[in-house]
Amino acid sequence: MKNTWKKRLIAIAAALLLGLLAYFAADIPFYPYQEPLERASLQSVSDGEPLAFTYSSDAITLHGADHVTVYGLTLSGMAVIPNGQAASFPADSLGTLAAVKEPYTADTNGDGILETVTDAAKTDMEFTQEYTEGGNTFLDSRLPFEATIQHRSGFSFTLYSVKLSNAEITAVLSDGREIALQTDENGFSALSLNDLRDGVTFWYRPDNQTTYRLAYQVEDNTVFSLRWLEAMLPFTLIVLISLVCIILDVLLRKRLYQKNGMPSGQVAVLHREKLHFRFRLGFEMVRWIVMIVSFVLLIWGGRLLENGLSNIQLPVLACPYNLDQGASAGCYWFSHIDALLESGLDEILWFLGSFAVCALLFGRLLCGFVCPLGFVQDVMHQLRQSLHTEGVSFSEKLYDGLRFIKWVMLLIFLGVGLIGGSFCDFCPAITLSPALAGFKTSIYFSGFMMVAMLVSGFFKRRCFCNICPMGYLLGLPHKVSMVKLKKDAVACTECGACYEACPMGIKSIFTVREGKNERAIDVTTADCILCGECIRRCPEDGALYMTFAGKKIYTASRMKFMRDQADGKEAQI
Amino acid sequence: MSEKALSISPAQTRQRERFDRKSVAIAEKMLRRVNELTHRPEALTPFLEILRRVFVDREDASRPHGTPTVGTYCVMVPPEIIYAQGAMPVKLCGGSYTAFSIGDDTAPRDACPLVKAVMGFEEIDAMPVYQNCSLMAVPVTCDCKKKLAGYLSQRRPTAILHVPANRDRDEDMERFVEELYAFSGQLANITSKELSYENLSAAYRMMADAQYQLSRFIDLRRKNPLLIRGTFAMAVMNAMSYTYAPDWTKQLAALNDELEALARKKEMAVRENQPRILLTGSPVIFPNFKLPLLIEEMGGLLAADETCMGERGLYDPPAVADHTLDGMMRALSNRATRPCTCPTFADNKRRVYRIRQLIQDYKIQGVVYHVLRGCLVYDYEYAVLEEEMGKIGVPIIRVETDYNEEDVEQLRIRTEAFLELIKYGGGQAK
Amino acid sequence: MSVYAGLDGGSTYLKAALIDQNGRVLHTGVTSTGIDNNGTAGRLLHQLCAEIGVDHIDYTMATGYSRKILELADDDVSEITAHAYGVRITAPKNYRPGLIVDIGGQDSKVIYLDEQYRVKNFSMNDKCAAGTGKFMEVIAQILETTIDRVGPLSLESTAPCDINSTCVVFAQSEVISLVARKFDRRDILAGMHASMARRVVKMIRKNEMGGDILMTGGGAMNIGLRRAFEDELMRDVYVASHPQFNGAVGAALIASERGRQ
Repeated sequence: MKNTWKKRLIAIAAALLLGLLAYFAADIPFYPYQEPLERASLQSVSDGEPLAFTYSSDAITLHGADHVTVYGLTLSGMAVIPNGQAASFPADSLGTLAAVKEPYTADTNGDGILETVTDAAKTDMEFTQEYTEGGNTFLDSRLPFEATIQHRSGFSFTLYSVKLSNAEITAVLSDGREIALQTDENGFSALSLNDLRDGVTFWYRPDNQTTYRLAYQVEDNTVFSLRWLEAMLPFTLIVLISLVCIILDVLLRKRLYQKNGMPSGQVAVLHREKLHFRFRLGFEMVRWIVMIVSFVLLIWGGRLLENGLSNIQLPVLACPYNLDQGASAGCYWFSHIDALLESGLDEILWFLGSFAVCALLFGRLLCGFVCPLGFVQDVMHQLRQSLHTEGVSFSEKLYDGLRFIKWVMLLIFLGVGLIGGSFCDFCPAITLSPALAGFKTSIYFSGFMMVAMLVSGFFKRRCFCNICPMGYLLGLPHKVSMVKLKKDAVACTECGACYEACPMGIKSIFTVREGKNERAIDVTTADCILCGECIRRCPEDGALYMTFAGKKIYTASRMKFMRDQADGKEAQI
Repeated sequence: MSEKALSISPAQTRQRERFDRKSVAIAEKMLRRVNELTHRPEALTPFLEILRRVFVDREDASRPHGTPTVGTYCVMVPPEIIYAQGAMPVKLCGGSYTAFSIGDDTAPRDACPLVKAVMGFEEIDAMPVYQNCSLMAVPVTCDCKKKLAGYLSQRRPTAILHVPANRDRDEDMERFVEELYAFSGQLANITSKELSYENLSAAYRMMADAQYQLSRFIDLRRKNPLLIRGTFAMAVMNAMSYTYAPDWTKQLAALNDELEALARKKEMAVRENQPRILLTGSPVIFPNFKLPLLIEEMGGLLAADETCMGERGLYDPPAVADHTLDGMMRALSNRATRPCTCPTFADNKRRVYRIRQLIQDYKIQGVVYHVLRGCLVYDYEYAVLEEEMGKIGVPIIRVETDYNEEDVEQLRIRTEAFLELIKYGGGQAK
Repeated sequence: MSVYAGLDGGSTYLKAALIDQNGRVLHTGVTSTGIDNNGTAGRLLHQLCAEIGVDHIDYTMATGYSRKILELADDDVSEITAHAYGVRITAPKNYRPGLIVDIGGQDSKVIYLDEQYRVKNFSMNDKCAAGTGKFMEVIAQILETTIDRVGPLSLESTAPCDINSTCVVFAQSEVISLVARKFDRRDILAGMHASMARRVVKMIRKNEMGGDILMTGGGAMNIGLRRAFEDELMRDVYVASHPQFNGAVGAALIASERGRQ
């Protein structure tokens, strides 16, 4: 009697604690950056260069600033920046700047005819790259010819606030290439955000006597540069803290919680086991390859491939704060349902559609194969396996505890946005993806969550996935999904290897015996991430197998198991 | 060695001589009968040689010089740990009638013959493979094993392992992990070698090689159920008890190669119409090969067996999910408890499934359920098996016997009648 | 006409049966086994053939204790199978297979059949003489009567004795003491029959039994034993025709199947 009440009290306390941490996540700083508007500065120099903005870390420089008026876009409209110098920007600034020269006459195209040249430059700071409608357009006569990037590869051009369609515009890229563009009603889309990050100069000549020039530059979050290192600082800090925690735990293990008779944590780095890594294209290898490719694409995909699949909302924790993602992350809409409902039918349909397709086609295969947080945890686990350090094995009771926390997380995930909090400051993904892509994102409570995820993922395989709310939502419709985990109950010897191997602690895989067809019982649950570890560790032919649309894609095989054991290959990936 | 060897009276010497004579005679007779079965593969010879060496020539198990032996009394004692710490396991469950008659004086009348034989070996002190053990490891499974553990611990160093009564709860399996750690500690006292990741994974590798060869063997038999007589397979598995693992692996590899060649040429051991029998129940331990020999001499084929001194002795592999020392220990504990079909567990439904799978794999037409007199746990499960076999239409017969030779004629007629029952249409496996 | 022979070689008596290709019993015969099994069998078959005027036997099947030594048999089969086959011919018309209770000279058997007369399971008591003809012989001798009188005599009993011994040897002593105490030998016999029936019924597993119960073997000719069975099981018990020859007839039937192949 007393025991249940004690358990209930602990459960309620844990739930409350998590809830409070989630609600006040934005107030618990881990590594906050200065506000972009505070850390940016503007300097105008008359250095004879063509009129253009350039960036050096957070310092913006306007070159060729003779006879130039510099403007900034604020909430109340276009505002002059005196002398073109600013040590920081006011809070109502929208992060877009423009500089316009006094018109002059020149022959810019070498046809012998003098033209009136209106020379201008425009720039968008990094944090404006979200591109909400109108957030970075001046639409003012003081900047007659204006180009605006509206989404990653869509521009619009306006002349005196009127959209230009059917206009011929020349774009000169930073490497000198010239591209002739033809606009349509929507603008055009032959260039992308990546080109703008290097700087593009647009030339518009409506007739042979008028020329408009606009040098457009978007703040670049250059990967693998000094600036990138700045953006990576919080994540590096997280990794360091995690390493310290792990090492402390390994050293103090026996004193902290080890039972009698168990060996203390060991790190057998020095033992002379030959590292035979043979590349064999099995299920496990395919999974690692897909995980790595997804990791790269989800973090740098937008940058690498010019244009991402931004309409598709993958239901993984891939963090939309990374604007260079290969595909959008649906987690944002799940945790900000109020914003979703206000964003228009189009967006809602894409969101629901993506989720439905992903859930029906792949189910939690996305967790096992695609999610970047999953990849990070698998890397931690592999690290521990290679070092042969003792981990923590969970029993049924601990798994039950984790499942309870999962329900709490689900509530927080869906609900905290509705009561004024933000899940993004609680979710660990925000520390990883934007930073790796070069975006300086301030980290609040998420930093601690990420440390917890790395440390727990080291000692217990995929510990975070056990409590991940996004994954659980993805797993709920598993009964109608195309991917299933099935079991032949007669061939199964109830050896429990599948349970030991399962990162999600699903015991029913090995205890279930009854079903409509006992040779093909569906044992997929909403927790199963379809990582295939159970099948890999199963020593009975066909006792466990994974099917996609009814076809077996991975089956347990006794001879394969035995061969791996005999060659010592099961120790490797 | 023991002080007993020094202070031995003439009467005891004569007793020992009689023991030697009788036990050697029985062992030789059994070996001869095994040899006389048709279609004996050449590569079976080394296994029979081992049985001859231990039971006829009465030598100790051969192993690398200086390796102590640990007597084990159950499949539940993991050989991996023993090999890792520099010793060699020998499975000492007794099958000898002569030893059984000696043990009959000490043990209660209704005790199982296996335990009586072990006690007899202890008393007579004439089998080096028993005498030379530095440690005995007895998992406490059934009542008789429990009292055997007590008896042995009075006379020599004994490690007693508590096996959980059931394995549904995680705590049960984990308690056995602790037992294994304790056992490892006791081993270290004998061999002065502590368990480490390196030596345990080396031992794992050694046993994995053995299991790989056994899986090849099983696979060959599954694909060609008539390929080799089950009595030979029993000899192979029984020989494993007294063989250094890598040697056994090599011998089995040679046997597999020979069988593969035979399979390719489609040379089967028996004709298509001979009834395929599954033998299950109490262990069949050399020299008590009465039943397998009877089945095959009477015209059946022992196609498969589900006994712990037979295929089950090395069937389940330890599946390591976590490559650390603790992970490997957990895998061993898992393997010893969860898939184990020993009826000493309270719930043993998995045995029915295993047998059903065997029936399908080897196209079994009849099941012989072997109960040693006094082995209550196996007897309990007969009713369950009978019902299940009834559901799938496979005939099953319960044969109760012990180690003495007096009931051979009665066994013979029952076996013959059962085989005819199958031949004349009573039994079709679904 | 094809003639098929079945031989049932017991340790005391050797029985033979001849049937034709339609399963009709042509002739049966019994003789003492003696020490020369083969000689005895040969002479018996010769005699039977002569008595019905056939000159050849197409196939011979042997069963019983000495089945493997009878060289003139083409093949052999166990008694269980032979008895199961035998009742196909010797069972009464309205018998539904069923259970066979065979009380032989030295053992007793219980054979479970399915609806097609195939053996489903069987149980034997060949360790102890408590349910066998041998037992009856011993008792008959003590009570100074013959084996074919014990049945009818026991039916005349009005107050059957209780025989308590589990072992034949002790039962022997018990019977002697009952005689000394002036108990009527008919009551003693009734008690003996009841005791025998109980012994055999213990071998029967009621839940495996479907259909009717049929007695064969020498013991089936004992009316008192049959009555005792009916009392013990509380149902009717059928008796096979030629109960003593059931094994031989069954062997002959199997011979006919083999011969036709």
